[in-house]
Amino acid sequence: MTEMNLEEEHVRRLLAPLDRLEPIRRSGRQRPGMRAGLIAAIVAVALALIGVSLAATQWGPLSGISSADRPPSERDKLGPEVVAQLRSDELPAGLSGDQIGKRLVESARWVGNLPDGRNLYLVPSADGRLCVLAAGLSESCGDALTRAAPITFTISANGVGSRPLIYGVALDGVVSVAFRTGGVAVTLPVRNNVFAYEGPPYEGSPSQPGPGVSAPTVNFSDGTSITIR
Amino acid sequence: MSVTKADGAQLARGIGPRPIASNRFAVQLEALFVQHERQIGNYLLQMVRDRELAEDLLQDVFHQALRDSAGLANARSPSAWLFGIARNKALAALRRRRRFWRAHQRLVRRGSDQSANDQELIAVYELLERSLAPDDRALVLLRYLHGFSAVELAGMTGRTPAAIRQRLARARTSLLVSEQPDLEGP
Repeated sequence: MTEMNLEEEHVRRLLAPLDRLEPIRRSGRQRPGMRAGLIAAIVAVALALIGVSLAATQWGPLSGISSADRPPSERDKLGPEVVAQLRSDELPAGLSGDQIGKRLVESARWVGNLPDGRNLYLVPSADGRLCVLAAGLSESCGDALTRAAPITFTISANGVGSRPLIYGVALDGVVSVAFRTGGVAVTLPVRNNVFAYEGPPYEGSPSQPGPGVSAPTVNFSDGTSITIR
Repeated sequence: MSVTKADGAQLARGIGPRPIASNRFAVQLEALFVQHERQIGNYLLQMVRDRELAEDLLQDVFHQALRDSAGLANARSPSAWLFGIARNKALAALRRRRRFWRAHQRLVRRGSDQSANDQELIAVYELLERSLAPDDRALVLLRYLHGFSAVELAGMTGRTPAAIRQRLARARTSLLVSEQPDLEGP
């Protein structure tokens, strides 16, 4: 055995008592400070938290989105394949890490179509989250929208030759959403709380699924704007 | 907070305001985490010497991992990736706690009903703390208790394998010298 190996063996023996520590588990409860830190890391701004708790407890995640905050209609009914899409996204019951909760399919609201014709729905979750569902394509879930976090923003791309889709839902009072993608400045009007964009076929690197997209700037009807990071 | 999941598309990300992970990824991560949870928990406890803090950090590691699906996709070794996150969490926690450290040590020493095992543990902790900076302690624990190679440690820390080997050699010397204070000086 070389001198270094002997030294390493000695260090291992020295540290061995630390290997006999009783195992710990992930904390079930979190201290207030830790919880605040964790949530702050998850949401973009602390203000959004206040909005979320208000929205979730008093009005639900569809509040403030007029095209969805309305009585149900025939068009809101999700087909079995769309429900299956949602269910496949849900974590099995009891599994930690689920930050969304069961999707409330009966409360889904159709809000529009994407440029490729797909139906776009908003679906609240049992945990008060807001899910934006592009039928057969993707599902984005997050906290309820607030003035500080007034839009959802989803980018869907499928490699070279495909057209990237950028879409989202906005709170009432948002008139447009602007961003840059593929070197082009894009400003999308918000109609019925929805904005959507289909870019030109992606011609970039095969290692990237689609073009880069800048942080979106949200313009309100009162003339103010914020950039979501 | 936003979670995005796509069927068919290679990329679907959300800013609403910030993407976290797809649920499918969360299921994969949960399985991976369960597999390594015990060792990562031990490592955190070895680093921070505080059970409650280690438990919180372990939860934090999971959530940090959940937000970094690309990190796992790019990782050569999933376990090294998780331990890398744990190392960063532990070092950050130690930095935050540094000013309370003396008080903490006083409290630890005050325990009068310590068993021989406890005393042995405290001795190892104290040896580590007096001889190694937190960053080196993290490396030594990962190398000699958790079996990561210099190459894996280099991946975790952004250093070269040669630099890691050099640091480990220095750390070993420092540990061994501190273990036998009589050898320190003439």
